[in-house]
Order: sequence, then C-alpha cells, then structure tokens
Amino acid sequence: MEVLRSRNVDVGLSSRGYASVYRQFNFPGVDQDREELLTACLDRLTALKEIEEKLGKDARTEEVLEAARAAELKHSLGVPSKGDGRLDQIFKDESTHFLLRVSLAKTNEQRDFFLKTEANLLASRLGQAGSEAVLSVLKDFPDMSIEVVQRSEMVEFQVDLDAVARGPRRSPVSAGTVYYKVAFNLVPYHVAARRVLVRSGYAYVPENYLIDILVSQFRSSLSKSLADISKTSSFMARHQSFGPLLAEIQNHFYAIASEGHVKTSRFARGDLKRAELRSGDVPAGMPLCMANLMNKLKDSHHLKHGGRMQLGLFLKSCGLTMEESLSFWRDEFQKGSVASDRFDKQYAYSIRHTYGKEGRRKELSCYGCMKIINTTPGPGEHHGCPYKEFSEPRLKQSLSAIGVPAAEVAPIVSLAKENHYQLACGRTFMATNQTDPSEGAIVVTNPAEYFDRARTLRKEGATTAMDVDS
Amino acid sequence: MATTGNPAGEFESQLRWYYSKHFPIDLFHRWLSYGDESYFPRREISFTLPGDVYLRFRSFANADELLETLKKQTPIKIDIGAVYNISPKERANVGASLVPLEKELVIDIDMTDYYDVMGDLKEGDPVDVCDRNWQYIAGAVQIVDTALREDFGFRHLLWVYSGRRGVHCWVADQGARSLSNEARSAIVSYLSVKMVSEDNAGRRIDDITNPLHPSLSRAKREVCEPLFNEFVLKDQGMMTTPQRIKQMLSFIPNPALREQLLDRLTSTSSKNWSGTDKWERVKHDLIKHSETKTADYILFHYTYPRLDVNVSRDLGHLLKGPFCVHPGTGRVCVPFRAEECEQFMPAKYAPHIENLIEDVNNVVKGQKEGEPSQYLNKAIKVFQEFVVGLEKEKAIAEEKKTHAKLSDMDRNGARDFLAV
Repeated sequence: MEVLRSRNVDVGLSSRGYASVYRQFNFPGVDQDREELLTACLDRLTALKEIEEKLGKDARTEEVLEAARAAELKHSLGVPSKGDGRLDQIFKDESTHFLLRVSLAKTNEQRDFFLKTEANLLASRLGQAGSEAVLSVLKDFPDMSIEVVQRSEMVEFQVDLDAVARGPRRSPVSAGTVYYKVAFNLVPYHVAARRVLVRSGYAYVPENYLIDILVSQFRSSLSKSLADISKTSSFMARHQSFGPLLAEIQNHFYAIASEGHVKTSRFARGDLKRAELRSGDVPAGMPLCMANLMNKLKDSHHLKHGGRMQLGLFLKSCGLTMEESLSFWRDEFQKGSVASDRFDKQYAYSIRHTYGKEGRRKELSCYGCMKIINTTPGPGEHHGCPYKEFSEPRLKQSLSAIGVPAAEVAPIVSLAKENHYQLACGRTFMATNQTDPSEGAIVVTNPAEYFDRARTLRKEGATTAMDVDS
Repeated sequence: MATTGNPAGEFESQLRWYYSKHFPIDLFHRWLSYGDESYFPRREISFTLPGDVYLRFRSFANADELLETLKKQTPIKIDIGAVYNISPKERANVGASLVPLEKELVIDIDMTDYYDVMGDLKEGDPVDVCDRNWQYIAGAVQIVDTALREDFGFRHLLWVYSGRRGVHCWVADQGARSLSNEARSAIVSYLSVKMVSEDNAGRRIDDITNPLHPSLSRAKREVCEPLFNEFVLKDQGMMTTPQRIKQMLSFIPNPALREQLLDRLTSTSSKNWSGTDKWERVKHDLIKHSETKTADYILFHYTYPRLDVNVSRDLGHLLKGPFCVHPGTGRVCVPFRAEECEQFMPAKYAPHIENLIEDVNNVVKGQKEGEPSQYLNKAIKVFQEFVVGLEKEKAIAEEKKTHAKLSDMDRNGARDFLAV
C-alpha cells in the first residue's frame, strides 16, 4: 500500500482536506472495499454530471458554484472540518477523484467533462474555505511567486488599480484590500478580460481573485495529468484488479444522464439506448435503409461520410445522446482500424457538430425519405434508399433477412420497381409489424418515425402478451 | 500565385540568386538556435514551393543544410513553426508523436481588417492602399510594442513587414517562447478591443470602460488621439461626407442623440466646420449625455490595433519568417524598429527583388551601392541587433547560473569547514 502523501499538504487548508488534490497523483490505497469504492465513485460521477448540466445552460459562475455546492451536499462528497469520519472522508474524496481521473482520461469528451466539472467543484469548495486558507496553500507551491504588493507600489499604482477595479463584471474591491503580485499567466482569464492591472509581466490581483489562481493551476495540472494517463497504461499494469471497477465507471458515464439531459432536445424523440446497440445487433424495427447501414458497419467497422450522416442523425433522432453516439461510433470504428485518438481527431467533430456543439451550433435532425431517396451513393457507399438502389435479387434477399414473410416480398419488390419507394417501405413496415390491415397503405416519410412507430407497436404487443400470460 | 509579372521560372531563378546572395542565413540560424545546438534541428520550417506546393514538417540540421535546400528548392514562402520534442523530419523514423514544446509569441496585424475605417485613402490597388494607410499599422505597432514591453515585460521583439499589407511581431524572450496556449490567448485578448461589426451589430460592447483600463488609457493618450486627429479626421476625411459622418455616429446607442448630431453635422450651418470641429462637437455632446464610453469607443474603433488573434493563440501555428520575398509583390519581408515604424514606407524600405538585382548589376559595373541594397542592409542590421540582444541575455543568464553554482559551492565549503 502506498503512503498517503497528502497529510503534510493538508495542513495548508486546515479546515478542509482538499489541498491534496493538487499534488496527489498516486492512488492513496488499494485495500478498500470495492463495492463501497464503486458506489462512492458513482456518487461523485453523478454529482459531476449535475454540475455539467448547469454548465451546459450557460449559467453564471455563481450559479454553477451554487449547483456544485448543492451536488456535493446531495451526494455527501464533502469533508467535515472535524470529527471521527474526517480521515475516512478525505480518503474517499481522494480515491474517487483519482479513480474517476484514471477512468475518464481516454477520450477528449470525457477529459473535458472531468476537467471542467472538477474545476468547478474545487472552486466551490475553495470559496467556502476562504482566501486565507487559499493563500496558505498557494505559498506551499513550488515555483509560485506570490508577493504582497508593498505600500509604496500601492501608492504608485493607486489610480491604475482603482481604474481596473471599477470596470463592469468585477467583484467589488473594498477599501484596504490587500493586493498580490503574481506572474500574469497564473490568472490568464483575468488578464484576457483586462480585469487586472498588468505591469512587467505581473498581474496585480486583489485578495478575492486568489481562488482563481489555485483553480487555474489545478486545471492545468489536471489537464496534463489526464493527457499523461491517456498515453500510458502504467496504472492499469500495476493495479490490474481495478480493471472491472474502471470499466463499470465507463458504463455509468454514459448511463447516468442527469435529469432532463436526454429529453430536453426537440430533436431526440425516441428512447433508443446505447446499450441496445452494444452487441452489434440491429435493434428490431429499423427500416431497411438503416438496418442495411448497421449491417455494413458491423461488417466493415467503417462507413463513408454519407452513411455516417444518414445513420448518425437517425440514431440521434431515435434518442442517442451525444455521448452515446460518440461512444457507439468510436467502439465500432475501433473494431476496425480507427484508433481512439484518430477517431477523436477525424470523426468526433462531425458528430458533435450534428448535436449543435460545434461550428454554427445548429442541431441537425434525421434525414427525411425525400432527401435519402434523392442522394446517389457512389461505389463503396451504403447510404440512400435501398428500395431505389438495390438490385431485385438483393432487395428480395434483404427483405427476407429482416423478416418479411415470403408472400409479401414480391408485392414490395414490384412497388419498388415502379418507383414507389415510400409505399414499398410502408408495405415492409406492415409486413414486419402487426399493424391493423384496415388502416390501409402506409407512406413512409421519415426513418426515425418508422422506427418509433415500430417500437411502440412492439412494446404494446409485449404488454398485451404479458397481460395474457398473467 | 501570381509572381511579379515574370514568367514563373524567372522568379525562381531570382529567388535562387537572392537566397545565395542576400538571405541572412547565419543570423537566421543564430536566432533560431538561441544558443542551444539542439534547438534549431527540432524547429518546424515549412516551405511553399513554386506552384503552391505546400510542405509541412520540414526541419534542418544546421544553417548549411537549410541554405542548400533554399537554393535548390527556391521556396516562395518560408514558414516558421514550433520547436518539437524531436526533429519534425524524423517523425516517421522515430516512432514518437510530435509534440510542440515552444514557439515565439507571434502577433499578426493585417490591413485587410481596416477597410471599414478608410475614407479618402481607400481607393486603388490593394498594395498601394496599404502603403498609403500605413499610419494605422504604425499606430498599432506602437501600441502593441509598448504593451508587450511595459505590461508583459518582454524585451526581445522583432517586427517584420509581411511583404504585402501587414506586419508580424516575433516575441522571442525565453518566457514568451514557453507560454502555454492559454497564456497566449490571454495576451492577445488583453491587446484586443472587440469591435462593432456586422456580425455583432446591436450588441453592447463593454470592452470600453470608464475609467479606461490603464493599458487602454495609455494607448489613447500616446497613439489613438493623435492618430485620430491627424490621420482619421484630416487625411482620411472621415467626417467629410454625410455617409461617413453617419457611419461614425452609428456607434452612438442613444437614437435621439444620434439623429440630433447627424442633423447638426450635415446641415448647411456646419458646412465650413473642419473634421476636428465636428468631432469636438460629437465628443462634447457625448460627454454631456454621460456617454464618455461611446466617445472612447469611436476613437478606438478608428485607431486601435486589430489583431488576427488566431495566429497568436496556438503554439503550433506557423508564421512566415523574416526575409522571405513576397511572391505577389516581389518585396522582401524586412524587419524594422518599432520606434521607426511611422517613417517606414513599405514601397521604399522593403526593397523589390528586381531592384536588388539591378542594384547589384550596377555595383558590378562600378557604380556605388544604391538605395535597395542600403535598405536591405539596414533591415539586416535591425535583425542583427535583435539576435545579438538575445545572445547577450543568454550569456548573462549562463554567467549567473555559474555564479550561483560557485557560491553554492562556497557555502558548502564553509559548512564543511565549520563542521570540522
């Protein structure tokens, strides 16, 4: 068991136990009960998800910190200032932070998530600890020059300091506030916004900005650490028994959707889950165009752009969150020759883009049938409408494969031959789902609607069947 | 890319001549070595070859290798990128991925971003337009140079004419080279004022505060006010036509005040007012209506530096090096001193490659060296000062290190002595 190295640092924040987070990059101990540890990790992950949700809403800093405080309280992550449980709680705090760090270092999305949510959690904690405690921690850092601005310098810069303090969106600076002189790159955000006086490479920061220095230090060391972890596997090599626990955290990363996370988007109407795609099987009820793409993806672990767009937007509309989509595509591509980091570089952007997180930030929704019919896939591409693109034998075979009864194949193929693609697709829908024949012909206009209706029918069927059973 | 009206092959042979005859390869190599032999070979140097073939991730073991390649391949543009963990050209052999470690902080200012504040001097060929509007660039250089030195404490700055319509600045202090991307972004944001444009029309810009941030009030006092009064109002005539007056007043958020001023300044009674008179009136009314910030904003809109911030933000971003020959204008990208920027006239100080050739031919015929060569030599001298400044500082730092070590040894010696 490795020594808990944080004790001496802990002195800095005597009332709280968080200082350790900045330097503690080794796992404090391996003898913990795994179940307990996993539960604690998932509690922290849930709290972080709640912070993320607030961040996603462009909330003001104070609101985010307030949310962080609330989440910390709700999932009891806080460290009491005294009492018997204190050491245990510190231990839990460090362990969960560390394990999440190791687990969530693999992809850009997860690293970003962890970085920004942990930084806000820390900021909220430091806000409660007070600037004196912060200062004593800062003084403990190596290579950190923080000096109190001398009286003579205060007089020299009085006018300038006042001018800076009176701008908009400044925290009020009360008279007699102590100023500190720090290297300008310790407070990059304040420098960028001209919220501080900068002279000869030093920023003159009032006492109440000190927290930001600590948080930004934390961010950069955490960012570096995450990058390092993502490149090595030394932790896993040393502690192989943690593999299942880390995998479990991974699973939960996508499973824990903080409230309203999935359904807020008007573009996501379905209830498809990442887990249903995990085995690589095609979920029942998918229209032929999408089932075809799913199969091609399963076979070759790759799809060209047209295919990725057509299937990706469809899955999005069926209910996959952005994280789920990224995980789905990454996993599939990884089975082929696309490594995770190459995926992050080449493909992740366009997926985030469809979710409105990049570029012009407009969410895209599933292609309609007209668009799909009107595209012409080139060689090696599998998107487009199968009723239009497939040869007769291939169409017949595909229809049988998705469960169209033999008697129904011929009429569907003949509809397709007469260019009634949407009617053909509708007939397939009727043949594969127990629809009420009195409803008449169905014209399919959107694959996501097709799937949604098919699933609804199946669920109803299942419920009815159960009712009969019981 | 169009060359200077020559057949493509001719520009190439001119370049070959220029690289072997005039390109200051030794200084160039000394600069990018920073007194450390392992530094230069790890630097990314990219070429654009004739025909716009762009080659990234080149690197060179030493000055000779670079010069030979320049002569052989005659790149029409040499871009300088970051210093990496390994030599970029060996990335395939080593099997490690390239990680950018250091690069100078770079600043890019381009005349293209100034078109909306041009009036009488706007018309004509883009290169001429830049030459005539150079005062904007000169003002920007002065403001940025002062801020980088006084506020950020940098000392080794190289300003270079970009060959067509802008300038670059290389900040080469050790502290600048090792800045994180975050810190680079912070610096360029600090140096920028958000401008009202079509993209953000109607949104309140609160970059301008009252009182102004000290760096902005210094810029206003030292550069913006004189530039506005002399150049914007007089030479550009930005208060002469109703349309230009309307443009200037469009930044006033209060519609009543805006209309009132517009009526006043475009009526017959103010027909004989000078641009300065009109501005005084605008300023007076704005201050009377507690719109000091708006008056300042207008001043900054017309005079404050407009940086191409994306060039600065990323460690790995490439920027054209000094002493390239711009393929479109034929001008040499010469360094200049910030304090002389106002006198710098691109058409004259940045010699044309053909004039350099002619000049050398004349010297061969026994004539005295002409202006083009003199201006090139002057630029090389500026470059040399910059390189020597860096080397001196490096030497002083080394000496200090040695001293520190020695005194440490003394102290240990004393301790040993006392212990005995």
